[in-house]
Amino acid sequence: MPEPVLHVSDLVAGYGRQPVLHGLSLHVDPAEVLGLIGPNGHGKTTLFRAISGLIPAWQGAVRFLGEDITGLRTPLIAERGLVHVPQGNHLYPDMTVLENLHLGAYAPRPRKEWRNTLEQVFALFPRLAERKSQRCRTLSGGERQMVAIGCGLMGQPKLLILDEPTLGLSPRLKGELRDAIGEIIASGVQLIIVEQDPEFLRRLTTRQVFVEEGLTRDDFVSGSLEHGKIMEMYFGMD
Amino acid sequence: MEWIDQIGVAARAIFASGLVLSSLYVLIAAGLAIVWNTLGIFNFAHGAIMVIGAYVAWTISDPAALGWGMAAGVLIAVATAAVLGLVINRLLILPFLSQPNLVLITVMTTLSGAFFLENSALLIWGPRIKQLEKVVSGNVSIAGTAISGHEATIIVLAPLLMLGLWAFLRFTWVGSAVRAVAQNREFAELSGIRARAMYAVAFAISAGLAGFAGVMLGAIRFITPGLGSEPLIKAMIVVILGGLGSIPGTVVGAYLVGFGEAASTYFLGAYWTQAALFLVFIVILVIRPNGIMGRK
Repeated sequence: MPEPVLHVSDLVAGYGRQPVLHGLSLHVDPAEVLGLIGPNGHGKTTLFRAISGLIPAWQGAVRFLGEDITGLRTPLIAERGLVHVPQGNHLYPDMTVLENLHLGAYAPRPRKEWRNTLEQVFALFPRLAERKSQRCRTLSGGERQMVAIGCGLMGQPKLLILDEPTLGLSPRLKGELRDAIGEIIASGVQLIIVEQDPEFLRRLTTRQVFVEEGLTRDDFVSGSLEHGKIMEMYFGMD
Repeated sequence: MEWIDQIGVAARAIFASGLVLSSLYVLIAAGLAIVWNTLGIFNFAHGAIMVIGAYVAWTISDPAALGWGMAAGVLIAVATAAVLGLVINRLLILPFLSQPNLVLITVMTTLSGAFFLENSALLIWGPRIKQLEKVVSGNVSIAGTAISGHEATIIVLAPLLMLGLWAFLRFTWVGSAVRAVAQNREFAELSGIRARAMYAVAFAISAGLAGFAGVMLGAIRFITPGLGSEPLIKAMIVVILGGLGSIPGTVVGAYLVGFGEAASTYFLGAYWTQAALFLVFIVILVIRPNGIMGRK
């Protein structure tokens, strides 16, 4: 049994004094693409923030590529190749698309090859190449999301975390972005992705995990992820 | 046509002294703006750093002290100021970085830092007034008005330094990262940019500029522990006027305040100049609350 790429064990974290994660455990094995699903406000984003060191882990441990990264500062975690693309439009609003992408390769390892990576990103999102000298403030929501994912790719991730990249986008844009994410997976980048559409997750990811009330639900094995069951869990419908 | 001559004389005098003042304000205000931009705070110890810079340059260069020459004086003064900036950043800013009321806390900590530095200067260098040698001797004529070579140096160096600063922030990895941290700290850290190191870079540059401004000022005015306080207030006007944190805005603001002050001193006299300056300042802010080049 090879060592998992990411191993989160009994993680407790939260905001103020309020825990959001109650001893959550999760692992990503080599060559695995993990999909996370679950109602909003149940700890998916908190989990990622704790993994990438944006908030401290109160208990438990995070191991990445066999090394303990619990308590490391965020930039050091990013340098190791664990790249987290946060939810929402988190960019440098007054910089151009090109500058944003450029800075995505700031860490020493991706910096050397940033021009090559940039070409790959432009090939994936041709629209970004057209808009490269435009300030991110002036972009549409979908384009910003492309820049955000592009910045993540610029960091040459060994594991890429995409926190609900299609949030708030029109169905057409969602489809476009999903195709792009499919291409990223096909190119061999390992990732964890949050999505609210079980159908989409089942098509792209190799395993799906349900996060509820700060814990993962083990009974949610691959294949049993049915639309009706999700509706029931979200909305209490029969 | 005597009155035309008079206007000519006035314009020339205002132009020359305005240019000197503006250039000094550019140097001081740009440092304030960088720190405001990256950390979102005002460093009230900025003036005290200028003072220390001037005193250090005096100690190094003055024949009555070490007498190593002016070039060494300027270099060591700027380096000392930069290190001082790092210390201020480490002791007075970083411990409070995660506090929600960071701005208010750092008003108090940097103000106390300023008092500490000014009184230390008094203790170390004593109450006797000092003055630095001019960096460049001789006189230069600008538009028919003679100014000292020293002042001409300030006029030339200030825009050059701003150009260098702009190029650094625009074209280098570290400079881009400083701007990135200013715009979105969390996103920057997720890309592997060490925000704290970038704050240190910003502070060192800011303090280095302050030290340089102090040396330049110390050869025009007398060096006292209070040397920096009046220029600091002007520089704050400049930064707010220019649109908080905007470097181009700060440059425009500096030349506006500098020439405004020169004109007002010529026509109204030094006594009313401060009041006139603040009046214009308030009027502009009423019309453009975010400053000349500021944006919401």
